[in-house]
Amino acid sequence: MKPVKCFAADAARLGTYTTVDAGPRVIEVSRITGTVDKCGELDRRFRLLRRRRDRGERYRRLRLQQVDLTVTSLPPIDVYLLAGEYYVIDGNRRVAAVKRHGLEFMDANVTECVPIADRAAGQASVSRKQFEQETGLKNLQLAYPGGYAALLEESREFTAPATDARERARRWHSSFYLPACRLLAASPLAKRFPLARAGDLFVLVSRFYRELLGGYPPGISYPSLLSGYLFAGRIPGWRRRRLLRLAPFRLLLAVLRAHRGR
Amino acid sequence: MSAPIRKFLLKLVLEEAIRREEQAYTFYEEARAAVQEPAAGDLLRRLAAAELRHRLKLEELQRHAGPELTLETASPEEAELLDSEEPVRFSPGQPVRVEDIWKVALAKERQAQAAYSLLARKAALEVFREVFTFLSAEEGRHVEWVRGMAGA
Repeated sequence: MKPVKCFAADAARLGTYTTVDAGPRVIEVSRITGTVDKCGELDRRFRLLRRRRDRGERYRRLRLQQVDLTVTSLPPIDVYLLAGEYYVIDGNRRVAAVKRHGLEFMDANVTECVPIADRAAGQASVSRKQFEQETGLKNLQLAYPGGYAALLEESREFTAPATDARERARRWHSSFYLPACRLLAASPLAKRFPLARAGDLFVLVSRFYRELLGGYPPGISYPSLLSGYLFAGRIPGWRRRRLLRLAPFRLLLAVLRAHRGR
Repeated sequence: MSAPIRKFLLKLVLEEAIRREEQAYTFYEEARAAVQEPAAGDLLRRLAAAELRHRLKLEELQRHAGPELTLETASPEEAELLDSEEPVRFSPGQPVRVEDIWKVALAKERQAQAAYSLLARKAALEVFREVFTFLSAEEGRHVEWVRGMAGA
């Protein structure tokens, strides 16, 4: 059994860092991969590596295992966010229980660690903070955090009857961003960039249209915008989606032309 | 001809138009990579952007083509205009003369302008007429841009 990652060792590799309070949020359980003070004691699923003599510890773990997490919500854990992964400060047992139950998300108070030498990471952290403060949207996950600035611009430009910035951002998120992400996750782009999240793909498409056309042309739906991007970016698989270009249809058109041209 | 068949044919015609815009976009992008002059590169970028915008409009039209959106086809003139052309490709490393690019671009834009104005005349519904008229006017503007650049 592999031991859980150790915060001290991984942080030392990144050099000096500063911390930013990212506040309470819902985090992905699969990204909780390390611990701060239980290095060498836990495996990757946060189970004890060795049987402990401490009966209290065993009892507390057993109690948590018996809790039905589908009906009981656990108090938020405390974690450090370092290079896209979470390291548990407080709540190792709760993480073990959640992983055992196969839950996807859990509540956490997150403190982000930003390496001082990495300017891009620092800027990304600032732009994410700004995005979250302005929009009130806290759980938008990007694998490449440089994209938060683009998302902020998008949410600002979204036309909605609401006057309040947060309300406008919420509408942008539910009526535009999320449906677009669903399309992106099922598109050939997701295969082309397997490490990117749907949000990163959204930023990719947004940047393309911003650079070439100054933004999305008005009156064009997202499926058309995505199709245009797949074509322009020559993303493998885009042509397969154009069924009307299949040989039988093209033959039909040619026959019609010949017939009408007579 | 029944309405579903006419609708299907309209989708085919729009698909051809989308293909034409794609070919034009690819042509301008490749030409842009081949030219050195910044002014020519800038115009080619604007033309590529415009072709992509047209493609988006046509695709949107195609997506929302309902049973009421049909096209009164066709004539020998139309059949000829809607014929797809062979894409012009640039071989990497081969020197490209800017005059040749403008010649091809002018022919492309003129043909597209004529095709869209014909489609605008044939369109049975106002929405279609408006879009095709807009596209035809845009292609006409591109003809002027290219002419201006070729003459400069």
